[in-house]
Amino acid sequence: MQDHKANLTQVSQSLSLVGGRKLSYRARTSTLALAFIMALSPVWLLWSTGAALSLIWSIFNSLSHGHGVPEFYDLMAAFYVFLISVGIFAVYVCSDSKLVFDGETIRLPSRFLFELRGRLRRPWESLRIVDFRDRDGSHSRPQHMALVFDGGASVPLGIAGMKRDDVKELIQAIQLLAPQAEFYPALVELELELVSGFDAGLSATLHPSFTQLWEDELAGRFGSTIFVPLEPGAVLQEESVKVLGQLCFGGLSAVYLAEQKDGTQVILKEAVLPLGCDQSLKEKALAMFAREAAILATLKHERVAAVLDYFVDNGRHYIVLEHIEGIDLRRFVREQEAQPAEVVLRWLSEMNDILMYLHAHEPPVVHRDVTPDNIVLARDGHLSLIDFGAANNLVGTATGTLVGKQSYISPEQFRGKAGPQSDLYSLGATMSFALTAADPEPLTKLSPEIPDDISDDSLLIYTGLVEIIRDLTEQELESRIKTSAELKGRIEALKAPLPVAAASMRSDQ
Amino acid sequence: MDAEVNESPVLIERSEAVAAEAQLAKTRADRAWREFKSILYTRSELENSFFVGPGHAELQQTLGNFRLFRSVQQSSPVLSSLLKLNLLLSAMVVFFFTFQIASSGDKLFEAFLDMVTVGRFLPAVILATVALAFLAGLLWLSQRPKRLKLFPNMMVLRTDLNESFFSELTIPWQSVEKVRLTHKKLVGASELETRVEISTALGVKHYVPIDDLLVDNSEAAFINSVRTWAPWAAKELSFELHGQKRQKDKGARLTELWLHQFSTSQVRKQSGMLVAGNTLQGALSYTVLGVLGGGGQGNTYLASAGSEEVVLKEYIMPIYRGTAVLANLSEKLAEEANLLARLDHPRVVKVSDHFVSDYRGYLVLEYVEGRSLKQLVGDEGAQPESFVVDVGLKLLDVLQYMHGFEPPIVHRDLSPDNVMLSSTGEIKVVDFNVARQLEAGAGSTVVGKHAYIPPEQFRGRPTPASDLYALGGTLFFLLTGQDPEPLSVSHPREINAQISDKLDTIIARATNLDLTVRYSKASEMLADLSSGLK
Repeated sequence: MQDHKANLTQVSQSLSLVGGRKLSYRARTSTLALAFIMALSPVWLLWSTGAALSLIWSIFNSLSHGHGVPEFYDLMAAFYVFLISVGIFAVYVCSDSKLVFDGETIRLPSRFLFELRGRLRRPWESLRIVDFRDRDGSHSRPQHMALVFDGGASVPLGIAGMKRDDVKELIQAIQLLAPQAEFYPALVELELELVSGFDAGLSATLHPSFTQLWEDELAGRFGSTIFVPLEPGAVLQEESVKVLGQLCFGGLSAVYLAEQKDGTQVILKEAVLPLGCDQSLKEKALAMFAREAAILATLKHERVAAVLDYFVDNGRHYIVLEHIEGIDLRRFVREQEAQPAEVVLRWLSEMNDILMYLHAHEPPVVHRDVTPDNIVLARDGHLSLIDFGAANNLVGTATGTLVGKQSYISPEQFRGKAGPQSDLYSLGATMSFALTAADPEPLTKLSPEIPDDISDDSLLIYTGLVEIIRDLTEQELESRIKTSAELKGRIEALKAPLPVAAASMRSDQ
Repeated sequence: MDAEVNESPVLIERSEAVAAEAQLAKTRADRAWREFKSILYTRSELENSFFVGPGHAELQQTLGNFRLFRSVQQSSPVLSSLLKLNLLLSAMVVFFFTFQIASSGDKLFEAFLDMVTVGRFLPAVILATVALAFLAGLLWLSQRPKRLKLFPNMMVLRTDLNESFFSELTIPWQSVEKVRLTHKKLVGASELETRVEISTALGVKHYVPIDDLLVDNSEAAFINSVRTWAPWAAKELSFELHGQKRQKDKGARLTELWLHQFSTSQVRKQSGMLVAGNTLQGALSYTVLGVLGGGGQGNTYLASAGSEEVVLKEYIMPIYRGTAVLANLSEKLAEEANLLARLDHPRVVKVSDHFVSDYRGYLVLEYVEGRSLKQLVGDEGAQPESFVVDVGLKLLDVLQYMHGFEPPIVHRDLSPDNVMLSSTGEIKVVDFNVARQLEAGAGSTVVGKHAYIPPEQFRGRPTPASDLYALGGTLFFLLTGQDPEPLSVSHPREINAQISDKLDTIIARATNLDLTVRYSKASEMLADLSSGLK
């Protein structure tokens, strides 16, 4: 419990930095109500003028003439004023309000004033139940998420009108900050049913078995290490780099999200050489690494993550890389499934241009780690390369092992003789992954299967693409495509027959 | 075109027809003309919606690319009925008071009415109300939830009109001129609303609120599709938040926040290596004597357990409270330990215990005083044939034992580092695949000593014969003092012509890449090795 509290303090501290989380809560019905009220506003306006005037007139009249105020107009005036007040109150209640939460409490929208008996802000500890079920007990297309607090206050949040990301965040926050809350039905059940549903509100929000996916993701990211990884808040290199969080680690390396002094976010890669390393091997590896890092630091391409710095701190080796926001291809393909040939062809073309840049250097820069994990789809829709094989190489050479993802390593790289063609092999394997959504067979000439249900136009592209992938993954160097330029020619030849797209691409680009 | 009730043939047929037409279009004007022509296509038949929904959707009317559907009734929310009632009551109020005014003969109110000449005014009021109701209707229509689905040859924009009616508009990619994000400050809202603006060749602009778009597409998938199918339209399309970028970074999504905050430095008692004197509690109490650190695999300590000396292999675990990460890794460690504990052979290092302490996993192993074969060769150079054959026979004995289990236990990491030569001349095999099993994360996999790994093991299908390949490589190393060439047949004779033909052949066969040529069983290699070398 002690540690859970410590966690919460840390979370709320960081959340308070961003001012708590504000989710926009606007039920669809209140928009309608607002529209309706606005439409009738001239009527309200007119009658309110009439009410005010007649009220003033009758008061004036009764004062000046000494009569009692005629009852009828009293009633009418009072009724108008009442209507206006009701109108104003309705607008307030129906207007866009926010659902705000931080590490300690949650504040619900004002429309639930009644249900919450005036106390809109509730501590997380008092949340007992989260109920998705309808009155009749079904939960196949939940419209509401009822939060039940201590004391019986029950708030039916209309989730159909909330942004899907917001609902997801809210559920995640509940899981983290109110672990005592019980879900009805159990969250796993809920998600499975919802995915087959159609309701715009929630079905697209939660992935099947979110909790299991989260666990799987964590398990895939964090393994045992021979060193204790850096904690958030750790500073390195005379306070010029501060660790913000751990992204993944295992074995002899780790990757962190960090921040430079000027506030820009960067990626920090760490490699730790074990004690028992052969000294001569270690020295050789370090020399190679220093040379490579120096070369990488000179690379400048908008689609390649820049190497900002490299240093040694406390016996550990670090590379600081530019942080390119985007979704890596592995995750993208996992979520979106196997990609059509047109998409893969475009990706192939973009990656080839990047490799052409790298290989054009004197001497050519061989990446050595072209895999779906190291390529991201940036926020502008173009691919970017976010990592280099340098750190892997350091660790591998020093320990006499090979570090990398099996499916993407070419035979010559396996034998320790990587060259520009090795990058082409890895690119071919990566494109095969994109086409089939499965890691390809290592050390094999790849021939991804073409799906059955595609149009004739697409078939042309598919067969052409598969041919290119086969030629990229040839095991022998002489048979493989030799340069990026050659590959570019093959890609252009394939793009030519595309309808309009090609024609306007050439004329408009 | 004939109608078909099946969804996909229609989809393909329509999109094929559209694509064929598009082949000839070259300029925007041309595309606009074709879009216009496609609009003139009408029909009224039974069809299915592009959006899969509950119950079936009947096509009511097709006008070019616009289709109007009527779907199965969904249960009306109570609130919308209340609103309808509200509307009725308000109408009654308006009527009542109009009547009152008209029938009232009171002088006061007449004066007031005269003041504003209500005779002419009232119709104006009613007209204004009707006009504003109409505008409210348009507002309502634009606020209708929309959905957008992307297909290889077109986009389909769906608008939900009310519970029973929705419409679908097909927008072929060829008629799309530009797609971009626009930001607009809505009346009454404090945030900017982001919408996707789709402009067609004819100049029609469709707006889809970003939240509605995200029901069926992720941002990444959407932009990826537009760049693939209509690259000319995506020039201004980007989800980069210029200017707002800093803010977005600070308010990182909650899941990422979790990653940053879950780790707790205060929890670990020790952040560096263990030192002499530290005690750990497993099945027994262990006192650390010093660091052994050999092998390049991880931290190894020499410790005492009562009177005996043991080796502790350490695996530092992630913490991540509230998740199953630590529990899963601890379980994996236990599994590996139990597997190794089953092995009872004089030449296999014994596992006596395993435990987790201070978020570090430990395997307790038998202490073998001596050096690894790697160290031996490092100190003394290449070894004589007789010694190498002896080592080979002893290792084959071990492999036979291991492979004899049901299912066979494959070592998968046999190499000169992992074979110890004790000070008494004993051969002991250490270091099974435990570390690899536990290392999972970090995004890249440590393949291992690649010089000793055969292709089938690299492809993820290790067999007992894989250990024989590794053994062949190890013997090569002993004979020549060099690591074998990865993924190739090793011929020690090429380095040292003194080596006998027979041994060379055996090692070559053991390191053959072809599984049909290589020894498939330890006993085969044992037979070859023990014969003909007396």
